[in-house]
Amino acid sequence: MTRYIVGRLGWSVVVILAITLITFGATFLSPVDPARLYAGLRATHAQYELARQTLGLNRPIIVQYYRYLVRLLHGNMGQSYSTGESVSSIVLGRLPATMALAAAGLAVEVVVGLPLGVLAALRWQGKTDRAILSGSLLGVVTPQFVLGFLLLYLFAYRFPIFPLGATASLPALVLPALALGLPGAAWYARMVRSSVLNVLGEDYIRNCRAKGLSEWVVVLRHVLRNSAGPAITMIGLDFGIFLGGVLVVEQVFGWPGIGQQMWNAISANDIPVVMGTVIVAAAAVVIFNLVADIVNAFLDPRIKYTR
Amino acid sequence: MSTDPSALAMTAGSPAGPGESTPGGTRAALTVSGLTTVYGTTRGQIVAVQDVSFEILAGEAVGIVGESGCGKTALALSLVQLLPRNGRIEHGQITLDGSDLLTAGKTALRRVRGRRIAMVFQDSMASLDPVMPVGRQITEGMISHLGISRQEARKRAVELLEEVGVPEPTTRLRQFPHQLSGGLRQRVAIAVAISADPEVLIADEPTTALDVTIQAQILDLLQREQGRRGMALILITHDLGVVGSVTDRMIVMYAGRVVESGSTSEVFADPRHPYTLGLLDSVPKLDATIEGRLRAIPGSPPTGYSMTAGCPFAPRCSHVMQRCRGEDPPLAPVPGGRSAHEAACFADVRTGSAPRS
Repeated sequence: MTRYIVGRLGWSVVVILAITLITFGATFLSPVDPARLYAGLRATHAQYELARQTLGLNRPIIVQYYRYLVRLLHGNMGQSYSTGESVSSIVLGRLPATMALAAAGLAVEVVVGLPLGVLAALRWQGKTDRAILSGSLLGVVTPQFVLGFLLLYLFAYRFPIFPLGATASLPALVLPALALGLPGAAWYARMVRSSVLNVLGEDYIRNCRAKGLSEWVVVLRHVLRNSAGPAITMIGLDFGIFLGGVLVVEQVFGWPGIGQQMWNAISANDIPVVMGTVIVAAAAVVIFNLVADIVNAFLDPRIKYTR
Repeated sequence: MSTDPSALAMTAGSPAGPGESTPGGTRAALTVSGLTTVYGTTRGQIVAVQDVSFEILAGEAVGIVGESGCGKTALALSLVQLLPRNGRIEHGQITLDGSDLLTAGKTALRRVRGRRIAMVFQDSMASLDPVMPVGRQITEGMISHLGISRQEARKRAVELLEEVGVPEPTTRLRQFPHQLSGGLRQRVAIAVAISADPEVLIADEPTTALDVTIQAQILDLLQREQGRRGMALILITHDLGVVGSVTDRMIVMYAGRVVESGSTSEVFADPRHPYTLGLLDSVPKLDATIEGRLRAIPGSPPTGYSMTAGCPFAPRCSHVMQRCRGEDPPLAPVPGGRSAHEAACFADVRTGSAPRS
């Protein structure tokens, strides 16, 4: 087990390094010249050269990357071009709002999606199954911004149960969480349905029944645990992705999270902030994917031997 | 260990059912009559088991043989009502101790499964839960059926593993199925099956997935446990060698029906159905000359869709007569056979194709 975790951890470090390389490289593809931006449009050639020196842009690329990595390891992601504020404090300041939204959205996905998926599988080809399948199809095809505006219109404007404006409060969290979580819940329901159906067809489930176990015990003790893998992987991935900011939902609801922050930074050509956000988002995905893999390894003893 | 009298008491139907003790002291453990099972498929309905009747006496070993697709597994799954979703029992009776299992409620049925009728399947890798230690898989049935504590069940599981020949049982209890060899897994599956001391053990191709040397050990184990516990054993297999070495009686199935049944020694020595004859001919014999060839039965069993009038074996039969194509021969006592030797054939395979009197 320890060997498996250490191995996966090592790979995660490699993946994060690769991401830093990509984000670092991507800034060179940008048409914006950071030195020009830093020195100002009316700067003289000498001033421009000075800016290049200050920013270290006159050094070889490999040295630039090395210095970038060293700074990154010290938690220093540079300063915002537009405000001069440190990128770390900008991103960290936005993180709590995004974390709250991510956790709430994930909770909606899990609480709504998983039971519906299990129920559909147990009622395979029955009315309940068909209803859940059609409902989830609707959920899957509805774009988040449509659902977001619909929820706002219905439950904040027509029936003002929840606040319309963005305040970082618990009631204000409900609608964004639903907009974020419901389409995901539809995916979860469909995915869980098919993995539960697969397991229900296994010989060992028939054998459990042949042993005379009650249907409840068969489902709770044997079916669920055996079909949990894909759902756990997806929960880990989703949480990581949500932590990186959910652009659309945060825009629709004016939620002050990382996604909104990212949107603003892109519009302002604020490269250090964009890079910092991408790194944090990517790291979140890698870390929670790793967590999901470790949980899966605990649930399924075969994993550490076959991978 | 005595049988729990409450286990099926609530479903007790006819007071003088066929499961009652007979004066001879041999009691029917399980009686099947007129059992018909169908599978619904996209291409229509398949009759997997057709009008099958037999009786298994307490403590008796009975083999059910036939090629793949003859309805052996459908029959086994019908007995415990664990057919796949598209399978359905059309009619018939399955009687255990005087009460009909087909009319029993869910709870009553659950108390029969594993407790009174247990099963061992072909593929022990697939039939054990991959994410649960094998010890718990043995104890969970005992805890629910026998109402014993976890500690007690654990103690018994160690004893059971020892009994079925699993070395270091306390260590093995904590292991997962993939950590055991195929032979050990099948031993564990047998331990699971006998854990609640059932009256009937159904083993569906229990040795097919194993090496030949392991096969012999597992058969030996099944036979030993059967004798020791006085269980009835229903051994489903396509392997006549297995049937010959383990069973007292055998039932030959073809196209979902019983085509011949009788004591194993008599059927082996004096087969009366051309299909049984063909099966016996296709077994390699140690005393055969090298020049002699194995004889195969030409063709393959009907798929179930193509059911026509007459004997289902007629298209492949070497003794076929005009009558066989229009009329389905009933299962009847064979002429000159000893008690309970029956075959469903118009021809007399002893003399060529002379009609049966």
